[in-house]
Amino acid sequence: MTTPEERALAAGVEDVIRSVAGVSAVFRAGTTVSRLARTATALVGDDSLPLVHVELTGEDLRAEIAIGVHATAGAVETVTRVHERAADWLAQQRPVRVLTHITVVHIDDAAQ
Amino acid sequence: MTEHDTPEPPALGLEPEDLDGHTIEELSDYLESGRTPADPSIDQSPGCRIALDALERLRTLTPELLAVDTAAEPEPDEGWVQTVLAGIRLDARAGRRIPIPHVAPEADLGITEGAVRGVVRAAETAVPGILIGRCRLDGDVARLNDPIRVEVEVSVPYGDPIPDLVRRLRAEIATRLAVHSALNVLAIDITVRDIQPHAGSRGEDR
Repeated sequence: MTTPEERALAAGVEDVIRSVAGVSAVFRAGTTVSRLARTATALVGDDSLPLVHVELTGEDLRAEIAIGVHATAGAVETVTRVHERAADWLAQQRPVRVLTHITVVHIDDAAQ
Repeated sequence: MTEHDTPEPPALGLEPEDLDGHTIEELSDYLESGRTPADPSIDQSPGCRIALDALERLRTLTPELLAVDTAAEPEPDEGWVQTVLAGIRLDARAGRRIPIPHVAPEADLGITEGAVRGVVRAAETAVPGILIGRCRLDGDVARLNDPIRVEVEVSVPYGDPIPDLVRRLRAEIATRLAVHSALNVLAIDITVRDIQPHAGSRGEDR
């Protein structure tokens, strides 16, 4: 289950990610197990979970992120920028090792 | 394993769950309605977004080609349209996760095979008249630097030199893959499966 702190971190980093140049959208992310857990939470009436999944595990903070990228921006450059911005922001909130798992799931060819 | 590492489907004939509960027909209707009212279950689904992109391109081209077919022949041949739609359905799946390298060990970056196939499909816009039917990445895309072959089947417009069309499409696909992935592309194999009537031919010189 997502703790209030994890939820707050996820919401905050999601805002950071949306502001990164080249990001066209943020999609729901997470492992199959965590998605099932969040689906279960939604079924009992709490459907406000952020799209980004943040998990605090011992001495690490793990962020799972799924993004869309504008075709003109390039996925390789954009996902690298997202990692750097997200990891920096999260490390400022919680001084632990930050692990990011970021996947580009859509390339948006529509004009920016 | 994450939800972005779904295995390749064994065959076509896919179920609505391949598009997060939606069918190609529903997505087509959604396009027809101008994507309003907004449906978050579609807009927030990467699979649906990939399929919508391809359907939108198909819509701009097929009415003209079908109209030419109708004028020249008793019945338009929609077989190639169905082939394209089948390819769209297949491509919308997330598929394997393709790594994007980064120097920091804490960064695990990647792009889905579905997103890359969407990029390959969109290359058809650079060669007006060409339609991509099937798109496949052959090789272990989940392993960095493994050599990959991109296999694409296309329909081309009648009257334009095929080698030139293929050359232009191959160049566009190569450029896009370089920008959006770190794949080690060994070859881009393009097979012409259909030749479609050109808008100006109208059947007289066929």
